[in-house]
Amino acid sequence: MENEKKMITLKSSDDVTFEVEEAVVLESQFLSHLVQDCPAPEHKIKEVTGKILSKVVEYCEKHVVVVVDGGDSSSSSGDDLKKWDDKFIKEMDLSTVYDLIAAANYLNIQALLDLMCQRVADVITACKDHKEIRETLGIVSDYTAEEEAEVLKENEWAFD
Amino acid sequence: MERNSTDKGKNIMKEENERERSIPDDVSEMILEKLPLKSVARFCSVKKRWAEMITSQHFAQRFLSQSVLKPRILFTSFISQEIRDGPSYQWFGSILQVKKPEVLRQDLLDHPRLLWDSRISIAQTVLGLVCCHNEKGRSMICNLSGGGMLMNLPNVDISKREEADFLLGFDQHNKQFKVLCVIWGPSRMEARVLSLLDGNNSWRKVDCKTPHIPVYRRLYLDGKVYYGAVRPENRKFFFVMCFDLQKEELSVIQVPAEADCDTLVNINNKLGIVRNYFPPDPTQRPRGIWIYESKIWSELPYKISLVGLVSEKVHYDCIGTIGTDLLVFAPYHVIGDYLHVVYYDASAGRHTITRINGVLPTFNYCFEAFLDYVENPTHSSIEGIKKICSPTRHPCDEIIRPGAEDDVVGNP
Repeated sequence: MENEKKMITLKSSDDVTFEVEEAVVLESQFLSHLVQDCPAPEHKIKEVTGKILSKVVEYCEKHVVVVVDGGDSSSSSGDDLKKWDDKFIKEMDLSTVYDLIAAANYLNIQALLDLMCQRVADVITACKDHKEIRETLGIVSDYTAEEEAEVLKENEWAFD
Repeated sequence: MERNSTDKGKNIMKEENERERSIPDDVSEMILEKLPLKSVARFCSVKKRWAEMITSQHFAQRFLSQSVLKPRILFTSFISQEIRDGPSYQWFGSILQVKKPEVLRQDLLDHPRLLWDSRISIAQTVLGLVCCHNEKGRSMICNLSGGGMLMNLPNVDISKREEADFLLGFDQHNKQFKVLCVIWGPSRMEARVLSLLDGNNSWRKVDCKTPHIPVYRRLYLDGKVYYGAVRPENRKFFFVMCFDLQKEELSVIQVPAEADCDTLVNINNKLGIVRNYFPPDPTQRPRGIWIYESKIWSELPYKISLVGLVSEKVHYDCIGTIGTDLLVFAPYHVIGDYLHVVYYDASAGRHTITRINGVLPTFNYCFEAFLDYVENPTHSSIEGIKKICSPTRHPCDEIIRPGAEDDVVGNP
């Protein structure tokens, strides 16, 4: 049975190739449709770079393995997976997180998208005010000084 | 422009335009709905486009639908002037309600405080709103996560020998918050109801045939408000009053004599009575838990012992269940610098103590705790609640001053 695993090759925008099992590809709604509709051995994903695709593949491979091994997702394997997720996002800089959000959104991998959004949410929660949020996320304000003062006053309660 | 950021920060700045384009609005919403409402409100002042998104009805509904899936345990405590220098206030904080009690530490989220000169009573929390009142018959509705004060309710005139109780509920049929007011005294027994935000803002009379005195503590469940009550002439005779929010009718539910006078809580989504006071002394009889199902009361077969859990000096209140058979106990008096809750898995007979990380207002004080608190942006300052609030008082003030002269409702 082991030998029957179907392998699929994914090619990134910068022509980095990844050979993965079909089960891994099925984690992505977009790719599973693609594989079904077009049974070619290799699929080029123009919107995702090799660096990001390697992360996507790493994530999907881990999640496929755990689900298969754990059967009915027993709590211990669930815990392990959560620990793995925590480590996975901890090592990542924000710019990679953003790219992964775009990739997960494009490839339609809901669990990965949720995980990445949670990471950004955690970063934002740790910010003490709007200035820190801007600085951390690299956002340029489009408010005039007066407008900003007014909005700040309206939401005064949200600042400690 | 000089910026105090790291090299990495500068790189992020450079890529900013490109990145913002690459994150569609629905993904931004996905990030925002994972935040506490307080952080979302901070986002309003980051960028205009986000402020527009956050203040939209669409986002409020989306946030609320996520929020009801992750209810919180709300804690509150009255911090009087004597305990701490400065004005007296009601303190609020909350933690995430965990379904599996494996977490040994949880972070506390601070909510706006209510500045109030005397102790207030807080009825149950319903969809993020809280109804508070004092002994003079003044009451108000607060949205603790969305900026605090929502509105004052019209004053209820009571004499010195009379008392009034206020209970909040949600009429699921008419999709409307309603407040039940029960007034009693030596020569009066009256019940009134008010629909929030219906434009009338006035009390309507409710037929009340059974003379009763409400007793601590109330419960909102499935379109009905429940509260314990005793007969004015015989205060040992305990029963439950039920107010149907859609029909606006009061009814009486008799309870078995053994269940006795105590706290009403949600036990596995049914009306439950808990004889709170779980004594630290094992020779004292632990009190029982009763549930009301198909018009029959039955005592749950749990033998709960919290002996020697944290400290013998701490007494616990059972505040209800999460899911099925997971009882939650909160201390009603804490000595020390941290708060904790005890989750008791009744079917497994196992308990977990969760320590709560966060700065508490002071040492040595009493607490009340409520389950199923939800962060709700649809009745908050974020949504622009100032339209219905007092024009003379800023509704978003972190500290709220009820009892001031400029009463919202009194204004023409």
